[in-house]
Amino acid sequence: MRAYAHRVLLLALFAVWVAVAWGPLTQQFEALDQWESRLGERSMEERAALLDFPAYSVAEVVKQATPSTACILFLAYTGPEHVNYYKTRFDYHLYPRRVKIEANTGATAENCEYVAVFRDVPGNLQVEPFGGHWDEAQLRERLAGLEKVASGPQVETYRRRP
Amino acid sequence: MIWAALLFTCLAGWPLVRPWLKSGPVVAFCLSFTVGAAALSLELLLLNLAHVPWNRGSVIAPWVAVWGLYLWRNRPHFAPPEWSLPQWLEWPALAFGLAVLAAWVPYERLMPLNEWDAIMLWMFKGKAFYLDGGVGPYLARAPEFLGNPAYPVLVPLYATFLYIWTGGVADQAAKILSPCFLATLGAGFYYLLRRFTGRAPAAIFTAMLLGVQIVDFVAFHYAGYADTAVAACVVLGAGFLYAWMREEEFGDFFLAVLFGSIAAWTKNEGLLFLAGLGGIAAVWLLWRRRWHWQWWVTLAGLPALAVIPWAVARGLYGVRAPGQLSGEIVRTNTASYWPTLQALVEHSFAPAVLNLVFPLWIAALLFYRKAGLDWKYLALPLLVVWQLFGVTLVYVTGPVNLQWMIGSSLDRVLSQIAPLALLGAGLVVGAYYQEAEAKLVAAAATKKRKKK
Repeated sequence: MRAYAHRVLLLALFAVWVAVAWGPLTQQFEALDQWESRLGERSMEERAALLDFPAYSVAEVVKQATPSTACILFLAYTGPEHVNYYKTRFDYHLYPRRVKIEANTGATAENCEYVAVFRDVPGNLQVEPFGGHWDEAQLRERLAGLEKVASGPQVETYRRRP
Repeated sequence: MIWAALLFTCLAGWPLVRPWLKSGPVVAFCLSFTVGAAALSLELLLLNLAHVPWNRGSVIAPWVAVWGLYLWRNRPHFAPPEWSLPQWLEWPALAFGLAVLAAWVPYERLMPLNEWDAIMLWMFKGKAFYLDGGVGPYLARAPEFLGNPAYPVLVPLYATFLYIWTGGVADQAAKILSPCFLATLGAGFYYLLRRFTGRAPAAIFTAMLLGVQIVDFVAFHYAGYADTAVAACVVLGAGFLYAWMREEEFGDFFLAVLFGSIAAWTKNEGLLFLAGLGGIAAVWLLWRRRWHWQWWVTLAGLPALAVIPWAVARGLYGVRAPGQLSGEIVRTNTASYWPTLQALVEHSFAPAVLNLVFPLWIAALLFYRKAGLDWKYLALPLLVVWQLFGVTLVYVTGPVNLQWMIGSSLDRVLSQIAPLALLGAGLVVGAYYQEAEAKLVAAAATKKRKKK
């Protein structure tokens, strides 16, 4: 039996390894089941819209309404960290359009012919409250001179009148 | 279409890898993927610098020439690959490996591209390069974006290649590149262990590699990131370096420098790895008095290809390394060096994330002489320590808050190093196993002779 000790040792090491790995592996199988039931029947666009809510759907609305050469200033009613989050998402989904995003109704951007007013969903605002400057009267006045080109659940897109 | 692109990638890497490998076609095919991805991404950059437009024709044409040369120099012979059923010790390894893949592969295919670094950095650049038809417009606009524009671009440019091939930004399909890098990692890991220890330890340890949660998580959940590619190159670079130091064959040296250079072409941690690997290789060449030009040209030429073209492209657009490194941040982070080390140790010894990789690695380091390995083995742990030291250095000199950086990336960075630590452990356990098996065979032969 001592002659086979090395085989027993190798198998014992492997058994310990599998025992440690078993918990995370079981969790992964459960996660796979859950995601399969949530996403399995959906198209890839629907999956992206569900997981990247609301960024993906908002970007899609703006994308349809703007040319690829456009510059878009997002006035975003969202939390400070979420501003960075949405900046990366909109950059990705809207490239090569230029994206600027500010949590400030008075924000301006040079040579940006489009303005998108984005209001984050209540769930995100509960996690991180709005911390910028938001004045509805100022916004109404500002948008009055613009032409609305698209609107969706969380976003309205405007263009400067020629 | 994506499958055809992946196949073409392996074909592009094959002539660079196959002549140097002592393995069957399956391992060579898996290793060819990473080399092919590196070669194709570099090709796109060179074409762009030479103002040659990107399209399927311009990308494929050079590889027709490479394959013509390869076939001319290596007359093909179509011997069927040798197959044999797994030995009894390999069955549990195979079963566990398949269970891990059954949990992760459908998950990766199910999820859309959604994770932070993929959207902000790696796949974003790939999409931008593809839509712009070059790297210039993105680099010119680099200050607009949050991602680090100076990072090496193997993954972005390889994603660009996949988009050129498929004719659109198919990002969910393209993120399969990370599981493909895992195939290189697993196959290379298995090949190196099998070469030096035998089938059973190689199979068991490769299954153990798949049982390291963070390795799977990074390859499948963080699909579209560059970390799995770095992990594959670190294992292969260090493994072939060790093979070369043991057997002194040029092919192993070439592959060590090749994979070290690909690591540098993939991510900044890879640059650090290349420096460590190159340093050891240079010292070894000097010590062994190897003056022939082929060693030194390989050691200088491959890293130069991985570093210089991208440096030129960045220089053309004035893109510099990231960060506004303020004195205050450096002072705060330097004062945090000890907590950084503590965090590193805590994360390294978390079984749910890294299984028992680092405890086993330390045990192997204590017993390598008893297992019959000589001091050349120390090159592997030295590179592990070098990378770990590099991680702490990057953290304390980084331009952002240390705690945030550790929390958001340390496990992922350790996933690049853990496979190399496990390879070191596998070599020690495998050497002990191989010696014991040899004794068994000798005892059986003696018994047989006595019977006669």
